[in-house]
Formats: sequence, structure tokens, C-alpha cells
Amino acid sequence: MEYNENMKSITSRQFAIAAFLVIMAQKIFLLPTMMVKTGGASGYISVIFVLALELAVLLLIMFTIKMQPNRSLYNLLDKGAGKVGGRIIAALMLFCLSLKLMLLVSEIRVFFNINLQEGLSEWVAQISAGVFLFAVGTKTLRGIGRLAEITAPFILGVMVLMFLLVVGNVQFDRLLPVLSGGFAPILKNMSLYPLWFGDIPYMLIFLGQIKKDKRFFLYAPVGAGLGAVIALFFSSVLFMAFGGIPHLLDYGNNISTMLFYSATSYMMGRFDLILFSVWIFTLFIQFALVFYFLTRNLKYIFGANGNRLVSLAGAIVVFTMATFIFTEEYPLYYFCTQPIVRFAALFNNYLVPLFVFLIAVVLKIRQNKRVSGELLQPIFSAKIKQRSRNSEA
Amino acid sequence: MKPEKSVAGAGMKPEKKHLNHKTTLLIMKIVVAVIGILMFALPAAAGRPQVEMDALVTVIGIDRTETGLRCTVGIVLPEEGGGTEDKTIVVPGEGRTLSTAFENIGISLGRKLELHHCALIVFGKAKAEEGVLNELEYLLSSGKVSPGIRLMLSGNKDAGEFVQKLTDYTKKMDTENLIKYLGHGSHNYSQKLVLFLSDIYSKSQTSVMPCFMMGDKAENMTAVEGNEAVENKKEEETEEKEEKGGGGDKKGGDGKSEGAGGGGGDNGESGGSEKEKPTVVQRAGKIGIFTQGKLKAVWERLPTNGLAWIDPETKYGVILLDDIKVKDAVITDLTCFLVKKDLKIKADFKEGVPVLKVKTSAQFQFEERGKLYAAVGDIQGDVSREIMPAIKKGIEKHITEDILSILEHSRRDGCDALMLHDRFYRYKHKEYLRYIESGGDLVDDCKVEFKYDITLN
Repeated sequence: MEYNENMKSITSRQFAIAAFLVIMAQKIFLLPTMMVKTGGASGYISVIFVLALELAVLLLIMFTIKMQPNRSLYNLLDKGAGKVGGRIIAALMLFCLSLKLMLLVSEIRVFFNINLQEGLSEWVAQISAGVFLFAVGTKTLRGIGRLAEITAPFILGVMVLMFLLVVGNVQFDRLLPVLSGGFAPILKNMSLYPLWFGDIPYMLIFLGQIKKDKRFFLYAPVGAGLGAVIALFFSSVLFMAFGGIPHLLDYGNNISTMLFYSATSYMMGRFDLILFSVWIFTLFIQFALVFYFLTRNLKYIFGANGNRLVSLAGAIVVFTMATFIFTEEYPLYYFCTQPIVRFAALFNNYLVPLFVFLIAVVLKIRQNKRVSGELLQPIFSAKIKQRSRNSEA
Repeated sequence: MKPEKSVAGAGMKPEKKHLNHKTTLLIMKIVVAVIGILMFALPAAAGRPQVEMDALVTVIGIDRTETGLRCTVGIVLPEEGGGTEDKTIVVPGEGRTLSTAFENIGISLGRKLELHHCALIVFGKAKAEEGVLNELEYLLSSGKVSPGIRLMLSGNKDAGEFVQKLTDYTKKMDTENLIKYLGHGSHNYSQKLVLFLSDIYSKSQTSVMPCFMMGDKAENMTAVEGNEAVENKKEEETEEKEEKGGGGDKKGGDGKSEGAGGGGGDNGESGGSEKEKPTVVQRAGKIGIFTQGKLKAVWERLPTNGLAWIDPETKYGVILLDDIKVKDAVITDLTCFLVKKDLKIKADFKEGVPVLKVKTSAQFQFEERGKLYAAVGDIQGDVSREIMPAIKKGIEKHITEDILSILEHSRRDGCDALMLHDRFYRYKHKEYLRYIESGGDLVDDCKVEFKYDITLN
């Protein structure tokens, strides 16, 4: 099935902004807290490796776009793995997408419960989230791109303020000694949390949707690189401050804790929460992107035509799972760190983008051969005709 | 092959599409507007603003009792309707744990305690000796207070008395200015919650808490409101005495204070002049040393000053130099004001011996130039040439003695206030491990080398 949804496209700049927001969103939300608990102060080294892998995946996606600018992810899967194989891969991706969405919902809920209103009605929040997701699912990718473009300046401004607040309290020597526990805690961190790490692979949904221009290969790496540096800095700040006392960090503590520390609330009030409430839009954009991907995956697997039914079904499923099944974070985090989920996430994060890239390469080679074959054919056929005339003669 | 659409049909559809789109947009705008209004209106419509329903805690004092602990909190109660006069009160509460004590205080007030604006936690000496880890870990991990909240040890009878006197003096949230000055503006070590706990759980297992003592209640304040209150009180007292028929000792009317030199206003009768500046926070010049979360010792002036030098947050303060002698000139009690400081500490091993290298860059300003000029005399004389190097040497000697006294006291009390273990563990990891495995005692064996870059203005 030719899956072509290029009615509206996003620009290179929107792709770069989305990459910037997505690469850092969940990595500086609650993930550093978990990594401090398992890896101690050396957790930042795991973050460096993970970010390097994310950037490598982004390069794979970019080269895929360069080689096959008009083919969507599902078209490539069809070509490379066949209709059945493509759907199996899509189903595996769907599994990871669903859990990723649950993680995002859970983390946002934990953060708000611990740091803000204790009595916040989850129903209000969840219903609002469901409506938002339904709206996202019915629109094109351009809507997410535009949303990212509009919110990016505010988020960047807030990040600069956060940096200025936090940098004065940074004590880099608290990250020392490097690798005091060897590579074991680093490998443990990287192997436990692949579901949290993989954010760039979800940008595979942009395949076939981008209005490529000359600066595409400049914007995207710069955007993602900037997001990676920010993610590394803010997660390292938490490692510095709490690396020696990980048992005192709760899952609701995160970069806002560092802002709380730095903003010295008795002078400025809870200024940190105002900043963080703007920053949290990054998470909502990631939320939207993952849900959009989920609905398109559903469409591909079940061969649906419109977006509304799929979006409605997806939003209801997410709402139901978040409200009735995964109501507490600990069982969810436990499940998401089980081997089966970790392997699925590793497959989704690295093998799927690599596979799609290879399909694009093979298709490109075939296209090149076909083109060179067509060019040669007139000459070749002329030669055959000449030989036959000669032989007749 | 699909039949072609009629021109008429084609002409109708775009219009209908346009109408639907417009209608849809309008409906969505109305829905968004309604949701927005509800979101803004509902919290206010639901009742009183939350800030009026909570009690804002500005300072917490923790003391030991027989059954658990007593928590004394200084609270600001915002006025209903956004009034300008905030009430500041001190409320004690007891409980087995800090959380139960907070709950009991909340019950006695009829309000929930809001701790996010708390500036200071003070421990009584008895509680500090028993241990502070449970309470501090609870406060940090619960997120109730900022990780950067300041910690102090009470030099008063107990933390409750400290909180009471602090709150009496600092009305209307002046607490934070006081804390800020004590932490940054003066030559005092300042300690924060997360750093205290990080140090306790580090290889050194030692941390410190500055010790302050609050003086008596100051009757004579420099603030306008304070003066008005004092004036009103003086008038009331005068009237009462006249009514009683005794002329009495109208000290209050003389305009002279008896309390200027001490704690500032010893008692209610002194009244006194508006020009007095009471010393309410008595700098105790002491610091509490904690090992494994318990108060091990309280150190006096020299090592306290030494720790202030090492504290990266302490950038200002006054130091008093010993006699500076140059040729026949002697300058006694020369005061230098620290305006800038950068102290770098490096851990190293030299031929197997642990060495701490302390490099101090500091800028000082003279507060008493008259003394300096009087000593120098002839500007072309030898004294003029040698006085500055002599003063610099005096400063270097002062700092060296202060820092070395930390090491001496650490050896005496069996602690590691210089954080030697932590420094060597971080910067010289492998050599440190080898040194410890070989049975070396880092605190006893460590040598300190000093380098200075002093600028005088």
C-alpha cells in the first residue's frame, strides 16, 4: 500500500526545532533522578553516550530523508520488509510508543502532584490531555511543527534564565572522580532506561514530510546538538548536587529542584515553578509527537482511512490506561525496566532507524541502476540493431 | 474511471466547505474561550486565595524534648483581603517527628504550614548533639523546603528562644535580608541544607554549621515604624508613671541609651534614643562541627574564621590585624575590609606525603587610613616603602593561622573539617586509595602549603 501523507509538509527549521525540543524533554525531566539512584554521580557519562547515540540516529534519519525525500516511513517499511513484515515492525514500535506515552503521562502527573497542587484533580488533567491528543491526532504533522516553532523562543528564553540561575551553584568537582565505580554503573544506566532515552527515533515519522532546503543539513544537527548540550548540562547539575545523596531524591525531584535551590525562594518566591511551567511545553510537544506517531502506526497496521477514528481510539486508550491501569508510577517504572521492554526499546531506538536507513540505501542504489540502465538502453539497443543489420548484410 | 463532477456540483461544494470551516473555527474559539475563562475563574471562585489559607513559615527552630522534639516556627500570616499589615508570630509545636510537630502547629493555627518560603533552620545544641540527620533528610527528600535553605546552630539557650528573638526583631519578612547578610555580606561561614548532607555523606563524613546567638529584644529600632512604636510606648509609660504619682527615673526622656554597648536595649525601661543602633544578632564567632550527623564540637574564633576563608560564598568581611611593625613605626589594630576573595585548594601527593595547596587571591580596603598615614609619616621615607609589604605579610599570617587552626582542631577532635578525605578522593583518587590501604592517616599526615596574591587599596 502506498502510504503517502504529504498533503502538507513541515520546513527544515521546524524539523530542527522539533529535534531540539524532543532530544532534551524527557532527559532532563525525571530521568536524571532515576539515573542518580542507579549510577550515582557518574550518571552523566551514561547521558553522554546516550546523547551521542541519539545524534547518530538523527544523522541516519537525515541521510534517509536525503536519499528518499518523498517516501514515508511506512512506504519504506513496505518496500523493505513487505506488507506483513512492515506491520510487524510497526506493531513493535506501537508497543514502545504506548509505553512511552504512559511514561510521559506518569511523569507529568508525579511532578505536578509533588511540586504543585497536591489535590489536583487528575480527571481534569487527563481529560484535557485526551482532548489535546485527539486534536493532535486529527491534524497533520505541520500542526506539531508550527506548535514547536511558536513555543521554541519562549522555551529557549526560559532555558537561558534557568542556566543563569543554576550556573552560580554548580560545583563541577562533585562529579569527580571519573569512573570511580568503573563502567558497570554506566552500562547499567544505559541498559535499564532505553525506553526513556529513545526520543530521536520518533522523528522517523517526519520521513516524506519535510520541505527540504539547502540548510536542512545545518539546522537539524545544530538544533539537536544544542538540545543535547542543554540536556547534558542540566542532568549533570543534578548529579553534582545529589550524586552523593541519591537516597534523598524523590522521583518528583528534578531540574526544578535545582532551580528551587538556586532561585532561593525566600527572596524570589517560587520563581522556579514559573520558569518550569513554561519549559514543560517541551514535554507536551514530545507528548504530541509520540501520540501522532502512535495514531499513524495504528492507521498503517489496520489500514484505516481517516484520522479521526484512530485518534479518538488512541486518546481513549491512553486515557484509560493512565487513569485506571497505570495509576502509580512505581509499577509502571518497574514494568518499563523489565528485559522484554528494554529489548523492545533498544530495537525501536536503534535497529529500526538503521533498518529504514538501509532500505533507503538499497532503494537509492536500485534507482541509480535503473537510471543508468535507461540511459544505456538507447545506446545498447542501437548497437544490437547495428549488429543485426551487419549480420543480415 | 470516476465520473466527472458537474460544474454546478463543483461550484456548490467549495462554498459549503468554506461555511463548515468557518463554523468549526467559531465553535472552537468559543470552546477555547469558555475553557480559558473557567480555568482562570474556578480557583478564585472555589474559595479564598490559597495564600490567605496558609501560614508562611520563615524560620524553623528544632529542639530536643524527652518525648521527641519541639519545633518552633516563625510565621507570617497574610492579611485577609490583601491587607498591608502582615502578622508575624512564633508558634511552638511538639511531636515525635518533625512532620507530626508541623501537623500539630498547623492544628493549633488552623492553617496549613507553607514551608517553601522558609529561609532558615536553627538547631538547639541538645538536639544537634542527639543528631540532625532524620530531620534534615526528611525536609530535603520531601521537597518541603529549598535545598539551599540555610542552617544554623543556636548559641542561645535553645532554638526556640533564638526563633522568638529573631522574629521579634525582624518583622515583615526582614529575615531574608538578615540571612543574606550573614551568609554573603559578612565574614561568616554559611551552610546550606543540601551541602551539609552531601558533606556528611562524603568520604570526610564531616560538616559544619555556623553558630549565632540572638541578643535581647531591641526596643530602639532605626526603622520609622519602630521609632513610632517606641515613642508611643514611652508616652504610655510616662503617663502610667504620672498616674502612679512617682516622678520616677525618666530615663526614656533623656534621649540616652544604656544599652548601646551590649545586646541593645536591655529592658523595657531603657527606652532610649532614636539614634542607637542595637546589636541584635550577636556574632558568636563559633562554629559547630558535625560528624555522622551529630554535633561533635563547637569551635571558637580562629578555626571559625579559617572556615570562613574556605567558604566560597564568603567574599566580604572585616579582619583585624595584629601589630604591624616597620622600623620604628607600629600600627596597632589595623582594620582591613575584604572586598574580593578567591581561594583555590588543590590536593596533591609529594613523595607519598599528602599536601594541601591553598592559593588565596584577595583584595582588601583600608578602613582606617588615618592610622596608616600617621605611621607612614614622610612619604619618601623607608616606612612608606615597607609598610605595604608588611601589611600584606600581616594579612597572610592572619589567614595562615586561621586555616592551620582548622587542621589542628580537626586532629584534636577526630574530624575532617578541611574535607581532606573528600578532596583527595576526588582529585587524587588512585593515590588516595593506595594511601588509605597502606594505613596512612590523612588528617594527621597532611601538610599545608600557602600561596598568596593580596591586593591592598
